[in-house]
Amino acid sequence: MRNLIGIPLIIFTGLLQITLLPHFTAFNLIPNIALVILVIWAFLRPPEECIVWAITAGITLDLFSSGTFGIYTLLFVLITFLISFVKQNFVSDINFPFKVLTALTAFLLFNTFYFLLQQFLNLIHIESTILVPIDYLFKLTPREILYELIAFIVILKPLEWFNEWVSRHEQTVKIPTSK
Amino acid sequence: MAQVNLKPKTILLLFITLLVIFSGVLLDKTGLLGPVKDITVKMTSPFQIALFRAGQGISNFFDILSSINNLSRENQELKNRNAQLVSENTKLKETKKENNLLKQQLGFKQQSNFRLLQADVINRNPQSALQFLTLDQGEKTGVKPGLAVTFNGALIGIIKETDYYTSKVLLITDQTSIVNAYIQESRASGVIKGQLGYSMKMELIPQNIVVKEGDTVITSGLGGLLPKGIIIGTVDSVDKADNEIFQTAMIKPTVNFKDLESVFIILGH
Repeated sequence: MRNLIGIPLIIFTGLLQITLLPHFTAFNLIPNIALVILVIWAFLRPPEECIVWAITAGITLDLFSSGTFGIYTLLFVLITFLISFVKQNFVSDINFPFKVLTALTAFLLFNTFYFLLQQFLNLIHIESTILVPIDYLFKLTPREILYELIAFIVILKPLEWFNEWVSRHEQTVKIPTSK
Repeated sequence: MAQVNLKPKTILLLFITLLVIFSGVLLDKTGLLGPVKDITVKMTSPFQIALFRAGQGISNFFDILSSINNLSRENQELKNRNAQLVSENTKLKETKKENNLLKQQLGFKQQSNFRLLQADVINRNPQSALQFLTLDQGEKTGVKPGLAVTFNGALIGIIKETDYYTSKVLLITDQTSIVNAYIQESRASGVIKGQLGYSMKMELIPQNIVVKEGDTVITSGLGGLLPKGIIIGTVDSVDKADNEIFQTAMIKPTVNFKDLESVFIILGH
């Protein structure tokens, strides 16, 4: 049930990322909404489900992006897995400050490693020059992280409500079958 | 000490991820993934174009709302500008006629117009670090790497990758983009490099040339398939130091890169 709704939803989010969101930039930056949703979902759901979502979102963006295939999938799965792992093993109370701090770390990890992977592994199809890492990492990345953090705070509650709604729906579906 | 208790399903999913990534990178590097990406983009292109245009519409609506206070003043300014342009246009038509007559008399070949191919923007790269657009025209219609892409007559980028149905444009504002250009007023040559965000910088301008704010920057036509004389932008600010061999200028694009919906690929003369 959850994957039946979730997988088309995350594919649709991937498509929104490349079509609708470029029109709503701040500082000429596009927030990665797929990443934001995956991070929130990792707080709410078990790792297996989150990894399926991460693979789906990663493949969607990898297919439509200009970089080499696989980087989105790798980073999305890694980040959702790490959040699930920390959540299960180190934290008993998942409160709001923990979520914000974890999201901040996740966005920092994603933006830094996305850039470094593209740059230093020479995985990109651009044969000309190499970007200046200092410029990108210190000028663009903090703004991108801030933008994603704002999106995270805005989307967090609606996605929690969505999760509750799906959980309630699943329970009501299960009751008649258990009789 | 934390317990690492991974379920078999989690391990299987992680294994699948690694397999997908490894095969994906391998297929991508060998060029075998290109047709798959191409067909996927082509199949979803009507849906993507609709979403892209919807985003444009919503964005325009908010732009109008935010600029409603300035509309009256802008309207007056535009009327004045229009009157000025009409006057200039009339003079230019006359000059063009005279120019053509003189060229004929001197035996110059008439330069033919550009062969243009209209293309719709399907999507934009999801990460801001790489400024790419995907277009709905590819090798099937004669698109090849290196061709110039314009919007409202101004250069917006160069075709970087082509597939059978689609192609990818590297925007001139991308940090890896380099275009040879010169300043129309002073004829000073230099290279245009993309900057972070949607701005550009013109480098290697000789120190002895006077560059003014508002000067027009156009392509020089040197190297590659870029034709000469396509507008790139105007000079926004000049950075000139006495101890430097060259001066640099920040270039303001004439195009709003958020407005790109339908563009033209210059196939040749």
